[in-house]
Amino acid sequence: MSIAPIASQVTQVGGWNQLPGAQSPVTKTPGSGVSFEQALSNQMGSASGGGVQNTLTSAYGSHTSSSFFGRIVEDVQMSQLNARKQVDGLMKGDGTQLHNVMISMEEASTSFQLMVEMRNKVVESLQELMRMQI
Amino acid sequence: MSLIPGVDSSAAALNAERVRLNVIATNIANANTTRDAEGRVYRRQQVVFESVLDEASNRMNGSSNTGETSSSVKVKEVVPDHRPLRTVQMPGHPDADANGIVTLPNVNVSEEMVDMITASRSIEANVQVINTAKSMVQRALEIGRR
Repeated sequence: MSIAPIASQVTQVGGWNQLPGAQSPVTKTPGSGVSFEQALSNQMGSASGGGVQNTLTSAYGSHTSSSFFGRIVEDVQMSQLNARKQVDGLMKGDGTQLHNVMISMEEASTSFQLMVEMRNKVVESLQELMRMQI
Repeated sequence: MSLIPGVDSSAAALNAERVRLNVIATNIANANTTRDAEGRVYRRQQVVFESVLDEASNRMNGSSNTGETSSSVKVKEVVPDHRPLRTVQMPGHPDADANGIVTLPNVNVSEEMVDMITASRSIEANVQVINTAKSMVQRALEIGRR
């Protein structure tokens, strides 16, 4: 899960699609968010109306969220599901190897930590912003 | 798997060494097998490793800039060893031929044990690489933490 491949494969950008059940991302300031998304989609040469489901692909398949953090949360979610699936496969004896299972578990935990660090950075910069005097 | 660097090669190596360990176990288990399902004497098997250019991970890592290429190990084939079989004089054996000579597999158990030690050290080394790479990534995640 690295940011560049995700960003470089935006094919459609819709409106804000809240990921069901996930915490709302902290950077949800509609003004700046939409313009960032617009800029991204203009760069990629395709833009569509709001509310359309976009199909971004990354290492784990397609995403359904249009927000940056939504996509990252989905990536983390998918890597954890992948790890769980491999553990199940190992238990059922369908040919999954133990070391592959361990590696995918490490991958899932590392990408989760990366997401947490990103959230921390964003929160920190928001607080910095709040502290600015007019 | 681009989050933790080098993990693809190590995973492939662990797969390959696991196959080698299986083959060694088969050889040792059949060291005295005079007859298999087709009636032939067991012949020692050995694995052939092959290095494969890892296209997907090269693309993801953008290696064309630095010239770094990552290759993985793959088991190319498992071939029988063509060294001569052991012949032993054992007149009373059920598989003895007309002269009382039995052909036994060309498995040298000491050789297999040494191969096994090599495989096990290789597995340990690869696991160590994965662990080190992971702790490196953890350290990188601490950048900027107060």
